[in-house]
Amino acid sequence: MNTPFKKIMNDIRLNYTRTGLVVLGLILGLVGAGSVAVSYTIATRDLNENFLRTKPFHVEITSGNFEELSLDTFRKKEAIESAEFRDLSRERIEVFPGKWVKVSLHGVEDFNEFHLAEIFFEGEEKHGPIPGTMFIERDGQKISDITLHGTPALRVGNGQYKKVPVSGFVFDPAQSPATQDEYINAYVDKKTFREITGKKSNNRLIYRVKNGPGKAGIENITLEILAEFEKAGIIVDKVIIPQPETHPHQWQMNTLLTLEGSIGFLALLMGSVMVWQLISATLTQQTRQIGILKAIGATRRQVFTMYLFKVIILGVIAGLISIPLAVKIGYAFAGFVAIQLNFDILTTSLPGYLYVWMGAAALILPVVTSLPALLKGTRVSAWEATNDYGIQPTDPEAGISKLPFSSQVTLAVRDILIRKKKLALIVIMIGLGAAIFNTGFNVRQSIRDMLNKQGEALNYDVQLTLSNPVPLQQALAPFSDIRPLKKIEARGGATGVLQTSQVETTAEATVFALPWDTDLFRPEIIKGRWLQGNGQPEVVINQKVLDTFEGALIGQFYPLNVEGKILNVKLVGVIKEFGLERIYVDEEIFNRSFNPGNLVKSLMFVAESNTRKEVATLEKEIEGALTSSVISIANVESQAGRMKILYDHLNVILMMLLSMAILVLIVASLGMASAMGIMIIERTREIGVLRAIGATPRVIYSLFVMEGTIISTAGVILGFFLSWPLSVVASAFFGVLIMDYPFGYSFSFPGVIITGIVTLVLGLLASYLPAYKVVKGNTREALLYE
Amino acid sequence: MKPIIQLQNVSKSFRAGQRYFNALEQVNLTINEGEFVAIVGSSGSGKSTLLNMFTGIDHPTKGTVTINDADIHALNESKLARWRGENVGIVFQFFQLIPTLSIADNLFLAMDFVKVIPKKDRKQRMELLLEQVGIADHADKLPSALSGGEQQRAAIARALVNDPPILVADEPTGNLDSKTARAIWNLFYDFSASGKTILIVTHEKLDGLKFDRVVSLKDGKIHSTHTHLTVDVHKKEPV
Repeated sequence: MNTPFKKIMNDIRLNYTRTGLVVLGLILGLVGAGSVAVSYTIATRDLNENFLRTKPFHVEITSGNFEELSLDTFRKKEAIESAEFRDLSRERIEVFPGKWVKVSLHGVEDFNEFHLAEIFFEGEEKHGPIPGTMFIERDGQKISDITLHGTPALRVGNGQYKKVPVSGFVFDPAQSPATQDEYINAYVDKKTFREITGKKSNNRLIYRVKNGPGKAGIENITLEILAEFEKAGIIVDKVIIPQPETHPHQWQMNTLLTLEGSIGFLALLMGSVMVWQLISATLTQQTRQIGILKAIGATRRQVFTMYLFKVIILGVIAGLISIPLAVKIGYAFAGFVAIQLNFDILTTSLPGYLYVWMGAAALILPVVTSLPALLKGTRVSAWEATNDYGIQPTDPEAGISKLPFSSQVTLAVRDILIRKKKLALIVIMIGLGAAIFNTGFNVRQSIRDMLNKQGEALNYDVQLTLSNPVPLQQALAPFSDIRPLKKIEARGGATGVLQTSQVETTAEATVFALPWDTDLFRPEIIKGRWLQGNGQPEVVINQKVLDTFEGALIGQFYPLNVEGKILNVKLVGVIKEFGLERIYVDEEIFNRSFNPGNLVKSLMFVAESNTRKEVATLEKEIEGALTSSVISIANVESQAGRMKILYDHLNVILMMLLSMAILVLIVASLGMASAMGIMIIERTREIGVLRAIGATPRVIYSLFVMEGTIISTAGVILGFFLSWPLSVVASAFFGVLIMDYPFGYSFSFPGVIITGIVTLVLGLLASYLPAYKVVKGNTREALLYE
Repeated sequence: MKPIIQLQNVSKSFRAGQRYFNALEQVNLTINEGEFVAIVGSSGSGKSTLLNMFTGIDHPTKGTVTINDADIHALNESKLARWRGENVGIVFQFFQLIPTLSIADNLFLAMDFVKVIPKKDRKQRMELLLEQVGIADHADKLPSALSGGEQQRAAIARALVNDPPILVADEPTGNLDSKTARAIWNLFYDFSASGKTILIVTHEKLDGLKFDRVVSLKDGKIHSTHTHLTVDVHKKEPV
């Protein structure tokens, strides 16, 4: 082998600690970036694949008189890819004794031939459910004790209870995961659907449009279809056009992948800085050797090539380790996302370009990060290099010795100030790590505060939503004797839309009618104001609705369509809340325009005290009262239950945020340890001199620990300063990602304490451990060290 | 005799804090081909600075340095490195062998950089030089396995491996005991006898040593030059 390269290979082999640290830094960066690329590829591809292979519908239309429609003729329309009547009824199912959740009961035309909205059989059997039985979507098993051949109770229609046997489990990737939204999907044939619900079949038409024309195209086609329906005398109740080809929980996957991407990027950044530092230190330590090489005839290019070769070799070593590791971690994270969102990992082999990309990164990353150090280190002239004794010229006394410190502290402070530039980098790294660590806590606090605010906005304990509006007395009758009850408030409501175009393209918004001055609902107003009792038709919407209606303006009038009846209302305010689209209107206005019978759609229960025990008792009492009631219930949900759902949605994100924060801090500390280690090695002779003049190992340790503590403290202080703007940006970002509205900045006091302690402890270890080896060494050898 | 090294009005200043310090002042010196020259002086007299002028490692603040008809300080760093490899062999006080390469590889390294010796001849050249300096048996050892004297022999062999006309040594025996130092001086005598121009910076006592010329420096100026010594530079002293 060419001798210059032999020297490099020997350097790598013999300086295994330094080599190991550089390779570790590279692995961190490459695994971080690589695993993100792998999991992103798998998760997006497979979620799409899972979702798209169901052939999800583009439009859902409900009507009471689809008998006028020939499905075969409809399917043959030029614009239509496929169509089917798929019944849907929302009922309730007992998942555990006394615990009920919502169930979406799907009535399927033909389990052996899905035209669209396909579901997949789990297990060996590949046919529809036995008549009179149902299939349960597999994710429902995670929130229930429903088993095969079990007979959970369904509460349907007019308060009837029916036990329906479970004859199998299916996989429906187009639905929201049961674990996320706390409801179950069940599938029956049409006859069973009618028997269970007492409703007519074929009231719900779903179809896919050819050639994926996008939202606007689908709207246009649907307009034409509606016009034809009108001509044919088909009265349409509702039209829903969801975001085409988008999974209902796409936002959550985007959040998780964004978080993972952030972690990957940070790992890449930190790893790069670590590599840069280490290569820089290597070249600094070999300054004299570089001078000798130039003295014996090596040109700068030859020296540069040698050290570039070293960097490439280290990249190859790191690549060989990190690529398989990145693939494994990437698959693991994709699997984690798949469990959260209930889809299968279908990718068995990664695309070739991914391996090429990771391989290229393994070569390019070390070269790019080391380039400045390589250029600087090899630029040094033979004279500078051969006259380098590791002692830098220092500025005149900065007056440090006049300060009332001991000579040890003075030495530590002076040593720090002599190496200002190098230590500035370490301080920045620690500061960045601490900033991100602290930001994780602050964002977590923002999310918690948001949830608390949501809770505070709702001053009731249990909400009962009826399937259909009923007279007030009928709604209240079952609950006259329940305890512990302080108050019940009844509210009207319906589903409706604010119209900014002729066809609404969202899942319909829920219209809540409530007394404008109710104290059971005090939301956070982000624009305009709350409703007033001025007798004028006003509405307040939440941020989700605002997001749907581009250009909606406070003070503008818009048609509010509630089940076919239209009222022009003034938009007066926007509130922030977690959940789906909601429109709020004063009860009096609502009843006058849409609800002349003053029918009630929901009841709000307030317990005597809001202790967990009392609320749980109240919830049980309500459920108990319902067993002897005939009213049809859509949902019963406690505030605590609702918060739990919200928290579960966000918990994964919160955990990932903290994991990201911890990882960043550990990497920053590793960087500090490597930098401190290098500095200590560079000062081996100095340490030898100190020992020769009487310093004990304890004194040497205390010197370096003091330096490390000063550096860590500076890093922590910098970190706290940096974390404020970082937290503001991160909180806003996650707010938009999760609920289409930026979260406000929240300060986490425990976060400050934990960040400070953890950073200082890691900094202490980062300075103590590298000093250990040198201090334990031989004084004579230390003095001879060069 | 043909001049091989010419310094004309060479001065060198260094900055020390706010002040300037003149390491060399108006030095005029000519070294002829084949001369064996000692450069002596007390600490701070400018010996090492003068040596750095000969090797191109440092540049004069004023004046010119011509070596082997080349104005070396007009060359850029890369060309200077190449020139140095071909024309000047340098021996350092602390040997400065590459610690992670064997003795043989230290010599190969110098030949690989400069490429003056054809590839097919390099192994033979390495063996010849190690034989000449008396450490052929240590070819495959790392420098740390050799004594100080042996390392300095290896450094001399490396300095000569590309067959440069000039050999420059900075305190080559400063780190060695007297017996070992004697052996090193004998090596220098041998190479001088073979026609190499040798410049040695030393503050060692010259008793018993032989040079064609002794240049004495004081405060950055040439204090005196002894052009002939009474001792025979070509007669070896027993070790």
